[in-house]
Amino acid sequence: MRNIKKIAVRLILILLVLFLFETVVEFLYRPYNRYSLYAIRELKECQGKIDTLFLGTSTAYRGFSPDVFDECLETFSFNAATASQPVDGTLALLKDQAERNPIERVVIGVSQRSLAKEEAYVERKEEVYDRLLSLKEKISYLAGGCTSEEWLDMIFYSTRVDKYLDAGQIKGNVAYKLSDAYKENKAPMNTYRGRGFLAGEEVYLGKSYEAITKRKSTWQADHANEKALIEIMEYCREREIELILVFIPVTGAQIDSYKDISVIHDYIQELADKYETVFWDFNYYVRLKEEFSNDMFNDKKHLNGAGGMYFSQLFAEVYKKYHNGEAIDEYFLDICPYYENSY
Amino acid sequence: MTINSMSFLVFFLGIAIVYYLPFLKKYQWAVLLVASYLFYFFAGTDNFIYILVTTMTTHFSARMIGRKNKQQEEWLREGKGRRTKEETAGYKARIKSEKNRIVFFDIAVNIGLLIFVKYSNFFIFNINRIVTLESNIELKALNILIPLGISYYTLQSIGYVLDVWKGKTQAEENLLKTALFVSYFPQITQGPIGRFAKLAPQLFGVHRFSWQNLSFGCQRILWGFFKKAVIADRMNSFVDEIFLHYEQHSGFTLFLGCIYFSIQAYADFSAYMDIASGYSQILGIGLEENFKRPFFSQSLAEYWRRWHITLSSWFRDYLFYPLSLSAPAVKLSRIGRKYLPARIAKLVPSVYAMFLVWFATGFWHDASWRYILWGIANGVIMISSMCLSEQFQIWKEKLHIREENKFWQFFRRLRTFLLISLLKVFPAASSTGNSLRILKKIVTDFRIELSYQAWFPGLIKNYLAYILFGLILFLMVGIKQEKEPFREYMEKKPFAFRWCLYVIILCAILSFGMFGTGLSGGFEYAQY
Repeated sequence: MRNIKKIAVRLILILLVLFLFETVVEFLYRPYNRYSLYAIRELKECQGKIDTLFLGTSTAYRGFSPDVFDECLETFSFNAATASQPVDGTLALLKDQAERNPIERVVIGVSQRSLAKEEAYVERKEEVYDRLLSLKEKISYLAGGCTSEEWLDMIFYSTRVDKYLDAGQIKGNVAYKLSDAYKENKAPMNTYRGRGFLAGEEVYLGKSYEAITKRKSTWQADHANEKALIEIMEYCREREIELILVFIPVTGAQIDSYKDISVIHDYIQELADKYETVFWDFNYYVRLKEEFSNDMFNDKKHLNGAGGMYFSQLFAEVYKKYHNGEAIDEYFLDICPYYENSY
Repeated sequence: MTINSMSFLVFFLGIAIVYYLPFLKKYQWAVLLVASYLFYFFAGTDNFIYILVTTMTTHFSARMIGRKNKQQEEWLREGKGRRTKEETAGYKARIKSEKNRIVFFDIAVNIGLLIFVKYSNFFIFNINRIVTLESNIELKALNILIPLGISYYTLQSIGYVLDVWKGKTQAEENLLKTALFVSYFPQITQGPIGRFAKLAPQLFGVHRFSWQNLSFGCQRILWGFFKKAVIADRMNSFVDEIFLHYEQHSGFTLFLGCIYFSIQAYADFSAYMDIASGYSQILGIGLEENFKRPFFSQSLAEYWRRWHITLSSWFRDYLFYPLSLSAPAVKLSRIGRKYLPARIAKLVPSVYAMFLVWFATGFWHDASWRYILWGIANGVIMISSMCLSEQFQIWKEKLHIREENKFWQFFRRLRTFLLISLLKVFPAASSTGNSLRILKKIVTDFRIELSYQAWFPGLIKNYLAYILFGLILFLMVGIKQEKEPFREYMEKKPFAFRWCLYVIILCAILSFGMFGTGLSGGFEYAQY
């Protein structure tokens, strides 16, 4: 018994020290000028109010502006998408938020890459872990989709600092984090437009594609990712949450790199039909080439600020019509407009 | 599941709790056996057959030899004073020959298995190279997975059988206990290669939970993780970079690469030993020490008495001594006396045995010519140093060099360190050809450069700071350990000091260490 007490006291002591250490390192080194810091704080502040949740990868957090959507539909939405969000991460975030908010609808910006990827990078899993607010979901996420080495990396990821000796970084962080602006959760950059929406300022100057002729495809969804996506659809159906799967517009250059976008489109469409879920592919949008030209993009596949706002407006418009029971067929073609001339 | 993974930690916690359950006290060895086989099972079921064959042959060979020993003892006791010397000698010779046959069988089976799984493809590759010069016939490489720890448990098992053969130890009667001795999980992957007389009583004995064992064990595990994550794994990427793209670097950088590889290999291997010993100590079982600060050695021979001690001592006891007393060695010595000066002639048996031992050491490490060359190079240096020792002594006297002189000792340490680092060119390179090309570049293209890129190619400056922090702490502990056992030193220190150091090490692992995917990376020595 004496030994057990001795062990317990030391264990508690070690855990306390680690907690303290992690907190101090996070305060000193976590960059104040990263949007995720503000997005997570905002997410915490918005708990209990969110009725619309945007999830998905980087195309989603650059594509859905909660402000635009809410203005159109009088909702309270939040964009909890993260870079290369693993599909099981999307499921974990959905469950976590659904437990804490009156979620009515979920919009997932699906990504062909995340669906195909067998194993997500640990950094990508960390971003999801960071946004999970309940301990139950955090533990369940660690236990379900991570190796034991990834647990350690995730639990102590704040200590994974590349530049421990960078005094300038500490100075900048401490100064800003002690300022009133930080206390008021004011992000020091223009690109962060609130509630998880990131508006890029760059303009893509890459090649334009008029007609795409490459039609070979090797894309295939990973089995575990497919399973997670099905679980998301079933979860939403059970909870009577409206689920909308969306392919966010990308540049012609990006569509070219997919080899054959119809393979991905058909795959999601089939799955959506099977599980009675709505799927809108905005890369099949009638005026994709005209309205989503390169100047709407930050890079090959991410919308920039203007593009994001424009797309959010378009998405809200389509959703509104759909919600009111109006036909939305006029918005979509049966083929990606970039492929029209190639036949 | 490697011993440095989090999954192993969870596995071990479960085992330790069951191990110390009061009602299982008598069956602690059985818990260890189950744990060892579970650990082995996680490594792959294909491996089982090999370890089972080794266990069976080891157990039954040792038992049969043990019975022969007893039979002889009884025979001698019964007939004391009643039998003639000739009768006794004849009986002893018969028993010895029977024991020899059993030992030969055991060694043949176990070394045969080792050769089959580890060296078949090496032989096939070399036969193909010779044969294809003459014809188009080509042997197909075998698709064999090398069983986990086979190089280690084979030597350990053979050592046990030879000890019984020599009458140094009693044979174990319980097959399951022999199975535990062969497969004890903390040491199966990379050793240390245990001796039955020391390890078995601990494995089969009853251990009460001890706070000191837990505390010392945890300290050792922590130190092992520090060396692995902060030094070995942090250095891994840039050391790899140097040797992978050796053609892009100067001889100077390549020589530095050899030094880095030497440090990294030591940190990696000794980290494993610390982690394995720490886990074992929590269970009350002390493993043999495998390292004694080898970089403080003043000669290559001393280095090998401090580096991978259990392997060196195994080769010394079971190969070097028998070889130097064998018939060919005696014959060579006789021939030597005819043609060589007396001083050199008396060294002939040792030279013969040493050469073969170092050839075997190189070959044991890996089935490749570069390791054979590495082994031979070590052997040749030590043989030369042995043969020239008297000459060195004369020079030292002429130069008035005193052995106890600190500068002389420092020079010898530095010289030995640089020499062993240079020899690391063989294990560090990816092939025999590359190791020779690197060696050539070191010799022909050696120009000292001062740029950061020449000293630390591809290494981020911040990471260099982490590595230096790790190395300074490692060196400080090493210097302290040379003077007195570090644990005793720590025990004398106040509680706050000790805990501060633990916290610093723990935080350093979390901050400066490579983990996540890095920590699950295997230990380099596990490949041997």
